[in-house]
Order: sequence, then C-alpha cells, then structure tokens
Amino acid sequence: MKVAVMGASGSVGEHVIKFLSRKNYESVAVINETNKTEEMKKLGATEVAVSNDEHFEEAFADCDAVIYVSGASPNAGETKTVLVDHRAVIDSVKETKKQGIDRFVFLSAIRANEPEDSDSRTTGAKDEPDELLRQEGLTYTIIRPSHLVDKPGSGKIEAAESVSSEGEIPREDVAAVLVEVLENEATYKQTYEVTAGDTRIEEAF
Amino acid sequence: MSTVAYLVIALLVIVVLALLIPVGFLVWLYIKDDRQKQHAILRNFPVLGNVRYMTEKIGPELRQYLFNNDNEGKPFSRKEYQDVVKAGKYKQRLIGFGSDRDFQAEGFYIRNTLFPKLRDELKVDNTDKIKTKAYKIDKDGLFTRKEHHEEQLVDPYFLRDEDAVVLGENRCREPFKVKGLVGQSAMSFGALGENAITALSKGLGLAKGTWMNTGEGGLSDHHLAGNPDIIMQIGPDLFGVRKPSGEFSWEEFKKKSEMDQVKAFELKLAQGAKTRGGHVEGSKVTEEIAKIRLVEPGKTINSPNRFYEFDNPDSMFDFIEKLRDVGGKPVGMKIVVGDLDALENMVSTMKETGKGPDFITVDGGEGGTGATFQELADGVGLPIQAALPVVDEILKKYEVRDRVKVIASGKLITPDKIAIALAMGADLVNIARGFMISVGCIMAQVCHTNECPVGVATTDKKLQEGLIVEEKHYRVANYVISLREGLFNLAAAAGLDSPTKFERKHIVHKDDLGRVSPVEDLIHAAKRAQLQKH
Repeated sequence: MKVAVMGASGSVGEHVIKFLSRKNYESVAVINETNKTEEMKKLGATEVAVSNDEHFEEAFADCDAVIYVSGASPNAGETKTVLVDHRAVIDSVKETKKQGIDRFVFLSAIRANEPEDSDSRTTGAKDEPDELLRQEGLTYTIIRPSHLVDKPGSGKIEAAESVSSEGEIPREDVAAVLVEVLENEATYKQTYEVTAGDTRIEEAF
Repeated sequence: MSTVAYLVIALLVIVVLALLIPVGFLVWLYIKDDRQKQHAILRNFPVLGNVRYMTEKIGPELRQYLFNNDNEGKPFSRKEYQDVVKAGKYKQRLIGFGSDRDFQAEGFYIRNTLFPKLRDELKVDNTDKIKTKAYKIDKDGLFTRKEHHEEQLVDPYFLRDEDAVVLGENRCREPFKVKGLVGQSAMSFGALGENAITALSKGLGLAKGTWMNTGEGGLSDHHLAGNPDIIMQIGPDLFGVRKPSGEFSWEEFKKKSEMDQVKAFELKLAQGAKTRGGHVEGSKVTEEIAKIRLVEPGKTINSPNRFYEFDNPDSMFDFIEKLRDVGGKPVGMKIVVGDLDALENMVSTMKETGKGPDFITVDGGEGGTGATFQELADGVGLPIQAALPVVDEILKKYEVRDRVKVIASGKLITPDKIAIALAMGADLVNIARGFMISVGCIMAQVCHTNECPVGVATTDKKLQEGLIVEEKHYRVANYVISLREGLFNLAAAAGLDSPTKFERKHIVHKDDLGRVSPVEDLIHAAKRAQLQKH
C-alpha cells in the first residue's frame, strides 16, 4: 500500500513517515521545502514530493491512501499544509478524489480546550474540514488529538468520541495512531478524540 | 532544703557557667593570640584580629553568592554558569528583559544579515530523535521550588552528512566523521572521579554527534560506559600506552587503536593550564589508576614536560606517521600557541614533508581545568581569541588547511562564544569546564585538593556519592544538544544554513570606543608583534 503524507516535514509528519516505513508501507512525503528532502528519505520515505506550487498530481499518483497532517507551518500559503488551512484541505480532498483514492486519514488540529468560534490561526473553525470530508463521501478517519507534547511515545492511548480536554499526548503516539488506523475498517468514517491512556494503540480501535 | 532552693541553686550554677565558659574561652584565646609569633595582627589585636581571618576564609563564597554582580565572577561569571546549568537541567536557554552583557566593553559580535535563513532552510539532520529527560518547574516559591523530571523526545541538531567534519580524511584507514561541532575536552580519570566520567560518557553517548577526550590519564572503563566516540589523548608520560620501563609501547597502542570506540589519538604537547608536565600524588595512584595508566601503584608521578620521543617537527611528524600507520586512525596534537615562529616553522615542515597531524587542538591560555601552578595558568600562552586566527592563517598560508582540522578550546561554553571561535577558524570546539558544570560543578575551585564538595573533581568515594550518574547524564546530553541548537540559531541569523559555514567575515570586533574592525586586523597585529621581537 502506498500512502501520501501531506505535511510530512512537520513535527507529527516526520513520525508518520517513520512509522509507515517501519510497517513496510510505501510512502510519498509531501513537503514544502526542497531542503527537507534528504531528511525525509532518511526517515524512510519511498518518494519525496515538493509542493511549492499547486500541483499534487504527481505526488498522489499511484497512491492508495492519504494521511493529512495539518499543523502550523511558517510557510503559510495556498495549498500548503498551513494552519488548518481550509483551502489546503479542500484542494487535497479534491485531488484525492480526482486520483480515485478513497482512503483519507485526517489529523485535525483541534485542541479540545479551544472554543468553537476561536479564530486562532491554527485551530479556527475546526469543524469545517471535518464536515467537508463527510460530504465528499471519502472513506475518512478523523483524529483529534489532545494537547500535543514532545515526549517519547508510550504506545498507549485512550481513543473515544470524546475524551478529557485536560490531557496531553506525545506527537509520536499521534503519528502511530494515524498509521494504525489506515487499514483498520472499524475506524472508517469515524471521528476520534485521542489522548494518552492505558490502551495499546493496536487495540484502541 | 526545699525543692525550690535546689532549683534556685541549679539555676545559679547554670547562669555562672554560661557566663564563665565564654569568658574563660576568650581569656584563653587572648593569651594564645598574644603569645603566638606567626601573625602580627593577632599579637597586636588579640581575639578581635580573628575576624579578619574568618572573613577572608568565607570571602570567596560570599562574593560568589552575594556580592559579585552577575557578570563579575572569574573564571566564569554567575550568568555564564547559569547559562550552562539551565541548558542542562531544563534544556532551556530563554532569557527575559534583555542581555546582561556589557555593550560598552570591547568584544566580538556576530554579524547578522537582513534576510536570515528560515528554519526549514537549515541544513540540519533531525531524523534521529533523542530520548532525554529535563526538569519542568511546577512552582517557584521563595523557600521551595517544586519541579519534576520529565521525559522528552528532542531534536538532536546533527549536521547533515555532507557538512559533517571528518578528521583524517583520505589520510588514514579509518577517518573520524563527526556530525556535531562540540565535544568534551581532555579530562582524565583521576582528575575527575569515576562517577563524573561515567555521567559524561553516558550523556555524550546519548547525545551522539560528539566526542569524549580521555585526557592524558589513559582510557578507563568509565570512559567507555556510555559508548561515546573517544579521542584518546597521549601525554609525555604515555599513560595507557607505555611499557613498565616508561617507553612507548606499540603493542599497547595497537590494542587501544583496535577498539571500535577509539576514533582518534591526540598527542598533548601542552594545554592551557599545564604548560608543564602533570603531577599526581602517590596517594592518588590507586590500583585501578595504576592499571589504566600502566604505572606502579602508590608511587608519585611527575610527568616530563616534553615527549622523550621527539624534540623537533621532523621527529614528531615521523612519530605521528608511525602512529597513523600502526593505528589506522587520525592523529592530532594539542598545543598552546605562544611562539609564532616555532608554529610557522612546524607548519612549513608540514608542507615540505607532506606529513603532520590530522588535527591540531588549540587550547587558549585561559583554558584548562587541571590543578596547576598559578604562574603557568595565568602567565603562559595566548588566549584563544588571539591564537585561533593566527593558527588558521598560518595553515592557509602553507596550503595545508584542508588536511589539518582545528579544534579550539578555552572557555567556549555557550553557543555565541563557540560561533565566534568557528568564525575565527575553528572546525570543532572542545569544552571541559562547561561539561564539569553540567555534572554538578559549583565552581568551588578546589580541583587540586581531591576535596571537591560535589564529587566531580575528586576520587573520594564519600564525596562522589553526591553525584548521581543517572540524573546527571541527561544534563550532559541536554547541554551538548542545546549548544548544537544554539549554533544553528546563530548560523540562521548570520544567513548561513549550517554553523560549519562560519567564516571570519561573519564576526566583527568592537572596541571600547565603538569602532568596528574585522578579524584580519588581529592577524596583522599578531604578525607585527612577532616582527618587532626580532
């Protein structure tokens, strides 16, 4: 299975590439800056695509799934994995459909403790992309992590429709979750909130 | 007699005793001071004169803790000390409300550019994350500070493979490639205790992309404990590579060079603190130390201040060639720059013969952790900021710069100082005292007494119990990672995508009148001074 990773050079994305490689998936790391190519390859990316313009075609060609890791990037701009940049999500979703890819795993930038109507650059209008995914009829899975921290992954989480807003979760574990749900049919067309917990990631869904 | 009477008598006795004892003591002290013949002040002012000695005794501590301002202490100010401690303990280098640096004073500054590099544009390798631990403060009260130790997954800030610095490239069978610019300077087991050496070894092993110099005291198991890359130093007394008779043992050398962890060798001609040979008291030469150094236990060691094996560049280079040939690993030398003519003569020999070291470690006169004589520590050898540009210039002049890497040391304990050294011509930087501080040194300045209160510079078992290897080794790793991160910060500010690209043009010197001059001026000044000598 070949997986395109949007936002692969971000702090969650690089772990996603690492886990995909460990689980013997082929991966296309979609990044914004040519400079990061070498690092992506080292992490285990099969291919690296630089999306410094609006074209995803090549990146998505032959892929069977897309993992979309949104997150704040200093390179804010159209079609880039900035913010929860709605346009970027919309473009990716469109391209996914165009390429006939059905599977779409979306890491929402939600932090449960921020208000719905916040216009924060990174989490504003958090429902919009989620809603779009539902409407477009893709086989989506949406992961909403609690507060992201730079601790080593424990491999253990709690996943549910709603989890405590007080919690935190290592970025490494979030990445593991995104890779774990890829082929897990129980997670198809589901939205989960995840936080650090006591269940092993392989058994959480 | 009634109980009350007994109580009254008892009370009286107590009162009389309470008065009599101090008075008796003072009288005794008065007579003792008055009759002694050592101190004039006590003979003239018995009892009272003692105040002088007491205050003098606790003066250094009072100054360090209370009266010195943050920029004042030597060899490191409180601020410099805290910069190192915080980087190690909290993995944190942020400050508030601006710099404490004296901007009126003269000094070097890094030239920033109008358009610095973005984070994404830096040539950094952060693929191999490091699992470390750092403290987080929960509550900082007046009398208590609540904090907890927390696991962290951090970016290592390695150099990219194409920027990695290689010692002995194309010159030996096993060149040493290093993906970070900062390593641990020479500190011997024996000068530091086993706990300190083990903590350093484990911390550096965890941080990777760095190295540990054994110091001239030989290679011990404590150095190997954390599996770091090792540069083994060989001093004039050849500890660890000698025959019982004191001659160089090629057999022992071969044994050491076959160890995978040993990446390079360094001949110590001199170091900042010790421009003479070392001295170790017989009482400190334990069975273990004797075994590591290959000397007799219990016997005082007075090292010669020069190798018996060579006394001019030619014979030294022949020795180096043989070391490289037998060991297959890079061979360098450590010097303190003083006589520029001798240096130039040596470098010209390098060019003529095609021989010479793979790296030169230039220790500033201000460098050196060791116990030594005051006159040597204070008076001999050029400080690093004067020595470094000259060494770089001479190596370039004789066209050997590409095969001879330069490692600089001498109080380069924060990223800004390291960046300035890199710009002056260093390829790599060695740190000793910064690492001592990261394993708990409080700058008590008693390294020479074996009574280090925090168990760092001592082999005393009891004192070493204070130093917990497991806790301290994370601080060592955090410190070196912070330095590497800081160097990338500074490189970005100077418009460079990697700190390996610092050159002379990236720094300037500002004098106390505000005039700015390039590093080249330093080189001209040094040359002029040397000419006037003739």
